Amino acid sequence: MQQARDATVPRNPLSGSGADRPRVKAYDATTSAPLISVRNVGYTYSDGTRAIGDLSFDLAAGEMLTIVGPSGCGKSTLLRLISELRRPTQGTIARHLGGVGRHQCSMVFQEDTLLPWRTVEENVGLYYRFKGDSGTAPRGHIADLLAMVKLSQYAKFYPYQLSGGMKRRVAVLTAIAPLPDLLLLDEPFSALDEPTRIAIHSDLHMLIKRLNIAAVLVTHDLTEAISLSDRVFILSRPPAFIVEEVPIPFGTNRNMYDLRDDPAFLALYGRLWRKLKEQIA
Amino acid sequence: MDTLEGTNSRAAPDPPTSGFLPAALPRRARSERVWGMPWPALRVVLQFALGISILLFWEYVPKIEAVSSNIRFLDPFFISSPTAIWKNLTGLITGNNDNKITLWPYLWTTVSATLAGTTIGLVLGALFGLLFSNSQRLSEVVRPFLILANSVPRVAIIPIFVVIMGPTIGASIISVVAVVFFLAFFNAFEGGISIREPLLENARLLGAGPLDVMRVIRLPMVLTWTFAAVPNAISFGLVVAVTTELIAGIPGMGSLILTATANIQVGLTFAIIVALSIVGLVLYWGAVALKIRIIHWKV
Repeated sequence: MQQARDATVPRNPLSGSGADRPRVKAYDATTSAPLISVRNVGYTYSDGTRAIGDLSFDLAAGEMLTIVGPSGCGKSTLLRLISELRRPTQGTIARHLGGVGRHQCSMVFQEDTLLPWRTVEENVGLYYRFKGDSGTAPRGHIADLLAMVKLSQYAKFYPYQLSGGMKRRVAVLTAIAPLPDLLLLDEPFSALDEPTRIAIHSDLHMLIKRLNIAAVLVTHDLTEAISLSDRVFILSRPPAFIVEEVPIPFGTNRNMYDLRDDPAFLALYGRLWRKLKEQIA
Repeated sequence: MDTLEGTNSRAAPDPPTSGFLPAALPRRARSERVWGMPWPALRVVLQFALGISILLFWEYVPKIEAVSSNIRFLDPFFISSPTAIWKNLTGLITGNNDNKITLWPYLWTTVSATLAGTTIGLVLGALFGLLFSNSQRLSEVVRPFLILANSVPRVAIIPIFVVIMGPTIGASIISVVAVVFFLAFFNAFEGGISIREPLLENARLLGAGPLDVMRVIRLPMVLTWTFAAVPNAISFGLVVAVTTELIAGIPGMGSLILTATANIQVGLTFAIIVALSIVGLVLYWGAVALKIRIIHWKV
């Protein structure tokens, strides 16, 4: 009986090791083409407003890229183009997503997207509800994710019972639960206070590095951009193009609390701010 | 008559009320003291005193000859008195009255028509609300017809239902359905189209197809808005059931009122109205409790 039930429940990709561990593999940029190749992409709204002029860049597997720029320069639109929710009006976006056992792409929105009638664990497992079959997540998968961000005791809570920071964590977990190759983040933490934001940065950075998820973050917050990214793009006023590409040299093991004291962090902040100021002044 | 806008604004999801008073009334702290007493206790005392004052006024002022002979609304012949009403009410409940009638069969007819009609109206309203909110083209095609149908004063078409169904409980149920359906439909429809775009985009990126969106997102939203309309729906349902009985002489609380007024038994009329009010209050509280239980996360 137990065996029969086990056969129907998918295994948890976060647990197990070695030969026992199921095959979960992100796209490997060292042996193949980049995960995302954006080539001469532009976007004009139906009212004729040209938001994105000409953007070209690549994104490697496991890389975290942040995009900052003036309001209205099409940052959020770019995420929708990459996610294929919209089509570019010019250029191409090649996606090499969907590694073995991986979902292609998910997104954390600026707005609250939690379903208020579903509990925390039901929200986090939403992908598996849509996936069909038994609608069940791999055994222990959701619990493991909740434990990673210290939300285990809130599994049966409803969103209205959570703080703003907890809701954002749940939104991140909902997007991460299917183990996407690519995670898109559209100003997801803009409404949070600074201490909560730093705590979530720690959780997010740990999750995406541990699960080898590539990410594109759109934000207005330069400290957030430096804290989380491997690279930062500064976009121009619309129609947008990339005015500056800044590599962030802090590696994968970062302490979000100590990082802000690092003179290199402050120097990078100054450099980014000067470039951004040229676009918004 | 319900207008489209009026229906929606009245029945849109809102915090549950503790009774007929809006929940938006400013709340005083439990610890606050007024006139040396804790406010919650003083509030009950004042409510009790007000109720007793009204009853005493009603009982004794009309008995003053100079008042009742000059002011028609204070003539006991027309407005009876609390003691006479109580006597009639207990007589109705026990069957110990001059007419040898008991309240229960009449009440059963009215309440069952209200509950059946309200339930059917809510289910149909939610179903059509879900269907139309899920398809923008379909809703655009039928919207003018629905607005036209909603603008028809339902009381005016009750006689048509009576002609079709005869003076039976079926006519009452159909009349209630005709009113509750539109209340539920416009609420459900509004709930269905109120889903924000990021929520749908998020679902799409997580692999949801159109059917998944309808099942997992739109249906719960529609049900939420429908359940928010339940307290109003049940109140409207009771009013329409009694109105239909009054018009058609269906043996329910409405026809009981007709009989009492035809026999100029003002005390009995008031006793029936009091019984109906109590039933209405119980149904409303029950509906509010159901709403809080089902859509607790909306509270």
